[in-house]
Amino acid sequence: MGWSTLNSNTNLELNREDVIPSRHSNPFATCWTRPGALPFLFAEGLTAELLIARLAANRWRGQIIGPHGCGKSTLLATIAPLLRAAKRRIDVVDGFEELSRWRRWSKRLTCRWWNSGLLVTAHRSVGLPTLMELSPDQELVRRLVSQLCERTATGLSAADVDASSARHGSNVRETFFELYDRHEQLARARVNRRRQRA
Amino acid sequence: MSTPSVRLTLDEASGHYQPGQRLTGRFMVDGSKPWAVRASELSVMWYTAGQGEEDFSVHYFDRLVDEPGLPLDLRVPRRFATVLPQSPWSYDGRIVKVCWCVRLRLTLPQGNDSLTEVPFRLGSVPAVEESQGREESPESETQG
Repeated sequence: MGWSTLNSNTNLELNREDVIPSRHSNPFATCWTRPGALPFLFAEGLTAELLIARLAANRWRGQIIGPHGCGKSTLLATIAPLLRAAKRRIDVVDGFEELSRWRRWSKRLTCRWWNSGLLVTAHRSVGLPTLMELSPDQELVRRLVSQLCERTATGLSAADVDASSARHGSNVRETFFELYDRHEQLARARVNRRRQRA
Repeated sequence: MSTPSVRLTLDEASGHYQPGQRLTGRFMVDGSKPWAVRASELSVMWYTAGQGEEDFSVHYFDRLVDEPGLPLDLRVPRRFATVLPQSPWSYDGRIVKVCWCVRLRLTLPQGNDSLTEVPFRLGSVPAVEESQGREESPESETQG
């Protein structure tokens, strides 16, 4: 596994990091995993530019579909600079099906009236051209964890990550929540042990 | 692209401060010739980190700008000082942490930013300890 881990046996002294709270103490904190903080990892052969090209080919109308926590908002955050660079009005709605039926109808009509684009995310099809359907797998979770742990070490094992990923399936957000808790448990147990031995 | 090597230090080596205490430190950029830096922003701030919504507040802020006739040469050490407030105290919880830090942001000409952060502790709220019985699994220590 490609991420660094804490070695609790080599140093029994309390580090400065052990006693001063910091966002760097847990690689799965929201500040590292929220949309915009963690870049979307595209499947091989797919890029943000290609996604924008697909959107343009569909007269700037499209939907990104996927279950809870699979990375739809992260994808939107990743392509946001390219959408701005397109220099045309594109309405973006994250969670289109959460709007009432009337609001959805009104939004489509308004976009058509003003000739503006419409890009939405949803859990299932809402009748717009599908640009991408997300279904993250265990390999993707491994890659994301590896990326997160480049900055902050963790005591979690590859088996811990795989087990959590298997429990939550395509819901990467829930996987990160669980890994956050597990990391906290391990880190605190390690600090307690150091205190006792000191 | 290379980034400047920044030295940001607090005078209190332990990094522990009490409310109302004066925090002092200094920062500088290493190098034999001055780095082209458009601005430096030094903040003494707190933020929350954890599993939920995030919050932050800046307690002290100092911005230095590179101006014609007054170039910003950060090879010269710059000192900073502020009196820390009464709250919020640092807190190391499992779900949320209240973190204090000194943060230095350098704006470089290419539009990139260089960010350096030194955390410190305000007050003396003990960290939440892991409850008895939840032990670190042996295999977790040896994975690499």
